[in-house]
Amino acid sequence: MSEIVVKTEELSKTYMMGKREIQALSDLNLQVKKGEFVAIMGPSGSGKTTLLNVLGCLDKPTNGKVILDEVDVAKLPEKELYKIRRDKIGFIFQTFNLLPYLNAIENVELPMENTKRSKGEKRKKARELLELVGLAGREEHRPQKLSAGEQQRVAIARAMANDPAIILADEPTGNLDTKHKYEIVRLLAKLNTDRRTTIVMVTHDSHVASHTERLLFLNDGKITKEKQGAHLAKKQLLVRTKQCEREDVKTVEGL
Amino acid sequence: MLDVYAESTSEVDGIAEVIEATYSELQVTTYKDRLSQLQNMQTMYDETLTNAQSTLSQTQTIATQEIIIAVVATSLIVLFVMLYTVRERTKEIGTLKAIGFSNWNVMSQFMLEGMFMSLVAGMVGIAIGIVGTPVLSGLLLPGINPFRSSGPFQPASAPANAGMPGVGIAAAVPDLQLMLLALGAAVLLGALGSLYPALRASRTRPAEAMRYE
Repeated sequence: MSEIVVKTEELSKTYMMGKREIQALSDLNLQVKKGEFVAIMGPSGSGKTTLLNVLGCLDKPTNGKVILDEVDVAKLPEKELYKIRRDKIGFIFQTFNLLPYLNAIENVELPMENTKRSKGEKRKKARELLELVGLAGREEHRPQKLSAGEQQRVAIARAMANDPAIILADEPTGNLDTKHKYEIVRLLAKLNTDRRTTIVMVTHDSHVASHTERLLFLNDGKITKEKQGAHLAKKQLLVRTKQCEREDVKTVEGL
Repeated sequence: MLDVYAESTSEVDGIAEVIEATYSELQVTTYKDRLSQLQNMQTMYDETLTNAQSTLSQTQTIATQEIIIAVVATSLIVLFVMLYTVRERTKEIGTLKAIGFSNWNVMSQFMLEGMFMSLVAGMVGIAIGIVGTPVLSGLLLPGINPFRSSGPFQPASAPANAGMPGVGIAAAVPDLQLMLLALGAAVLLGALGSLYPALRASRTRPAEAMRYE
């Protein structure tokens, strides 16, 4: 049985850019199952970020449904939406968006701020998450004392604070150098395999996208192409790992 | 000094005239004259009092005007500072909303910041007041040594001033009650000035805020 975490039905979004109407999304249908790692690719202006914002309840669709965890969030008023954003969604941004005046652990605790958890529970959870993303011992560091890769790790830990149903990552590797880029995408892949965290990631980078198991190509607000099947990603991942281990690539390609 | 008593009040003036005419070297004063002297003195005191009161009320009017100006200026300063802050931190507000802060959470965050800022500013102002009062009062009211009064937290024991009996001039001395009032007013004005910026912050649409650089 595959549980559907998020589903869109005939999703449309139009913007007014000055006097011009821009169709960012048009009748888009999408299903993401629990435990999937989906990459969304497409040229700029294809509606990737808009899609992510609509899925993340940051923006309202003009038409259509967004069913998140069996609730149609497209029609919900703001006083309900913030709870959805807090409890069901974890956001990761290109520019990390950590609060500069809070240290790592405080940043991770932030989404738990207005929940019923006790102070001790919040601290414990945040500590666990920082350890999970490989930042044990750096809890007290402020963002400016951390490298870009480390900052994004903190942001990933923050996204996971309330055990969301889905993590939405908007170009999470866009501001990182090659080394940190793969560290971050490998971390996301690891969270996906180890904890069955559902992740939807927007990216420009096909190498980054190849770490996922499902690739959606977006063009003019529609999904135009889809590469599916875990074998794609798993195989490529395996190839890459083995490439690192030894030069003998050919034997791996036979897989 | 010689007292002369008349049998009836109606005879007083006549008797006085007779005495004055008979003994030109004597000076005659009737109680009627004393009364009018007293009345004159009272009028004089009344005038002094009225003058003092009008000076006081003028001072109070000026003080009230100054307070109104200060209140308006404070609220406007807080308003502009907080509007700037909210604008500068648009992206942060977007982030907070994206990770699940409600409008109310965002609003109260900025209200608290504005009030805290005003509280600190109020405390600084009071500190400057405590240090500056003796200096200023020495400059404005020369002849009164404020350092003689019994410490900054007690009402001035007015140094008796030569001249009118029972009238002294109080030296300007900080007053604890007034300081607390000022601090309260500062926080209140901080809240007032932050209200609109905080409301604006809370209404920020996250998707737009994230695009803001």
